[in-house]
This record gives sequence, C-alpha cells and structure tokens, in this order.
Amino acid sequence: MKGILDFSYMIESVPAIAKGIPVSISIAVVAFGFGIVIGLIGALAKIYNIPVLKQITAVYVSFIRGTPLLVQIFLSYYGIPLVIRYFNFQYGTEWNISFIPAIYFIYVAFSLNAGAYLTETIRSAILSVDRGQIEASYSVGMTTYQSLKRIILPQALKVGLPNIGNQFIALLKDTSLAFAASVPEIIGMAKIIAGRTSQFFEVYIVAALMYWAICIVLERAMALLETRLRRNERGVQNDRN
Amino acid sequence: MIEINNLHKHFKGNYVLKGVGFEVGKGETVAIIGPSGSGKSTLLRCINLLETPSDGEIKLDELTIHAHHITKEMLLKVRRSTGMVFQNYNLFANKTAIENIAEALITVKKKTRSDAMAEAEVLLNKVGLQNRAKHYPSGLSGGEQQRVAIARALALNPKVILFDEPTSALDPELVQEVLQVIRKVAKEHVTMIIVTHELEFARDVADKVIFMDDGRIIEQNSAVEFFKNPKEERTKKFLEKFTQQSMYYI
Ligand SMILES: Nc1ncnc2c1ncn2[C@@H]1O[C@H](COP(=O)(O)OP(=O)(O)OP(=O)(O)O)[C@@H](O)[C@H]1O
Ligand SMILES: [Mg+2]
Repeated sequence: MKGILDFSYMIESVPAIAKGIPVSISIAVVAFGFGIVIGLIGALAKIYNIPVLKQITAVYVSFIRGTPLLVQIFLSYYGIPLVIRYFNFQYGTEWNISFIPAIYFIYVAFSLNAGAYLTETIRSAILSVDRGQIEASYSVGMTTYQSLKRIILPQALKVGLPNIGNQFIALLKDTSLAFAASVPEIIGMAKIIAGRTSQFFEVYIVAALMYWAICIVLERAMALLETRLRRNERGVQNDRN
Repeated sequence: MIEINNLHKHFKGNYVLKGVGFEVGKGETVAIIGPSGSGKSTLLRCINLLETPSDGEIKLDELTIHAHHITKEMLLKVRRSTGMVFQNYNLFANKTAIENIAEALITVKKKTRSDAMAEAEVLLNKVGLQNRAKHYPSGLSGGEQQRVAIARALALNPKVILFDEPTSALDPELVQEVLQVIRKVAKEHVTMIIVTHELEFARDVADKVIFMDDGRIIEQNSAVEFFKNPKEERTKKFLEKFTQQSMYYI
C-alpha cells in the first residue's frame, strides 16, 4: 500500500464531484427562498392569531420538527407521484410523472422543511421588536401592512439575521441527503464516482472539503452582511447610505 | 372640538374606565392628573383607539365614534387625526430623527420622500434639533428623543395631541427642555391633552385640569380655580400629598 490516501486520485476526482456543487446550491437557494415565504406566512399567522391558518401552521411545524428530513424526502419522493396519479385518475388530467425530474420532489421536501424552522426563527425575530414602536406606528395612522414593512420587518431582519444565516448554512449541509432521491448533488456525484473505483474514502474527503469551503465562504458573507446592517446602530447615519 | 361621552373600558372584567366624559375646546390644553392606576393612560389610548373602548362615544369635530361600531376606516381616520406622545418616546429605531418625523407624511399622506423630508426639517427646527437630523434614536438623549417624538406627533397636523406622561422617563435635568417644547406648541393653539405628574407645569400651561381617580373624573375645572379652590375631598388630599412631596425636595 502506497499510503492511506491516493492524492492524485483525489485531485482527479475534483472536477467530477464539483459538478454537484451547483445542484447542492440550487437546492439550498430554492428551499431557502420558499422557506422564507412559508416562514413569514407561518410567523404572521401565529402572531396575528389568524384562525385556521394558525392551527395548520402549528401542526405543520410540529410534524416537520418531529420527523427526520430523510423521511420527509422519501414522503415527498414517493408521495407526490401518488397524488398526481390520483389526480390524473380522478379528474382526467394527463400529467406525466416520469417527466418530472427527481430534483423537484427534493425542492418540495426541503422547502417545507426550511419553512417550518424559519417560521419559528422569523416569529421570534418579529416578537423581539419593541411593542411601543408598533403602537407608535399605529398612532400616526399607519396600517398593519405599512407598520410591518417599514418598521417591524427591517428591525426583525437585523435581529434574526444571525439565526437565519446559520439556518441557511445548515440547509446547505442538509442537501447532502438529496442523494437518497438519486439527485446528482455533491454526495450523489461522489457516490457515482467512487462506485467506479471503490476509493470511497478519498472521494468523500474531497466532498467534505467542498462543503467546508462553501460554508466558510457563506460565514464570511454573513459576517459582512451583519456589519453592514449594524452600521445603523452607531447613532449617526453615514452619508453613503 | 373634542367631546368624550360616557367612556367605559374594562379588561376581562377589570373595570378601568367607568363612564368618563369631558370636552376640550379648539386650541385648549387640558391636563389630566390622578394617582397611579386611575386609568389616565387607558383613557388616552381609548381616544386614539389603541385600545377599543367597551362603551361610550368619542367626537373629534365632525367625526363621531361609537364604541360598538368601529370600522377599519374609522380607526385609521381617528389615528390620523390624533397624535400621541408616549412616556418611552417609542421612536422608530431603524429611522433617523428626521425620518421618524417624515414617516407618516410618506406612508399616510402619500407625500414624496423629498417633500416629506422638507416638512420634517421644519418640524425638527421647531423642536430645536436641526443639528440632529441624521441621528438614530440610539444616538439621542432621552430629552432629544422625546422632542423628536413631539415633532412626529405634530407632522400630520392632528386635531389633538395626546401626551402620556411625556417627562416621567427622563432624567431630571432633561425635563425642562421637553416641557419648554410643549409650552411652545401650546402657544400655537394646538389642542392638547396631557397626562402629567408635573403639577407646576399643569398649572402653568393648562387651560383646564381634570382629576381622575379609580376610573372616574372626580373634578374638572379651569386650571386657576382647580389649584386655588379644589372642591372634592379626594382632590385636596391628592394635591396636598404632592405639595408636601415637593416641599421635601426643597
Ligand atoms: N392591556 C391591559 N390589560 C389589562 N389591564 C390593563 C391593561 N392596561 C391597563 N390595565 C389596567 O388598568 C388600570 C389602569 O391603568 P392605566 O395605565 O390606565 O393607569 P394610569 O392612571 O395611567 O397609571 P400610571 O399613573 O401608573 O401611569 C391598571 O390597573 C392596569 O393594570
Ligand atoms: Mg399611565
């Protein structure tokens, strides 16, 4: 044996595994986008006590938090085609299941997953905004929507950003589970490549380093964003913004 | 002209306002005094519908609101024709001093940002803070924050400004600068209702004084008469306690 690791093989495998990076990132970005929308709706339903929607949110958040992501992926992967087949049968629609790429089921599962966790994060960020300021905005005749958009959400974002950022990083790492639906993200690609040579260890080290690098970049970006937002707390507005 | 009739408010069986009624003429300044928990803040909050009254009637010029039929449009209309100055200033932390004042002009009056800022600047001058325009609330003293809050309340040119203990949260040395601004506003014949513990100030600036206790108005009179010849036993006791207290301070 030459040594524990075959370095030249590792370097050779980089380009092939790297093909999974855009897929991983697309899952994280899509899920995060929908997750923010779902989370905002869920948080507002809870805070403003919107009947029905509030109860649905409670069950949804509890279910997602109480089941493994991998199981949610399976439910989405096997469940959505069943639902579509049922629709085709019941209503005579002709949606072709085999044309739907597996990644769409992954988008659904990850969006719902992110949405549940973001509901809680966004809710507590909104609740952290001083009640007095909300009353002040009402006292000058602003509507609930104006108050949310111009006073509450900008401040909630500042409070919630570190948490939301961490959730995005966690989400990106979770995308590694998408291989379970044969989606060619980083781990999916790694498995394919390692399957040919059986050099699993080398390939997974390369994959690990890729996640690590992406996360370091994300953490840096997050820190930059935070300092930008915090500038406003220094008492005086700079002329630049 | 503002008229409050038979206003009631209870929170889940806790009766806080038990039939309050009074009038405020145009340009008048009314001071409301009374012990802690007597319902003064609740009264102000009912007038601009931050709390929904349980019963009674509020008239702001031609606008009449019955406690039992408050529509969303009425709610906004009432709030847009009343200004409120809070004990804790409650400035928007994400906006500069001048933006705090301009905010309602932009969102409610639908003015362009530059028009709103120009108007806000005039108001900022009025409260003597032209050199603080770009400061965020966190970069202002309590007195300065409250002066911005007064300018914010003036921005929509409301029919009445409600002050809820505007100086109670301030360090003693900052109280006068805020009272000075309120005096100045009173001189311009802006209608004001001021809940305050500053009896000296109430005697000074108010046309009329209302004494509340336990959710009711015990006595109301012109400021001069009120302090010179209080009629009710409870009013006398309250005023005595306060004069004694201020004697200790000397
Ligand atoms: N949102 C609320 N829910 C329940 N009870 C309330 C609420 N707001 C006020 N109260 C009660 O109403 C009573 C009167 O309160 P209010 O704040 O109007 O008194 P106040 O005269 O302003 O007193 P202070 O001088 O201490 O400010 C208090 O007993 C208070 O506990
Ligand atoms: Mg009070």
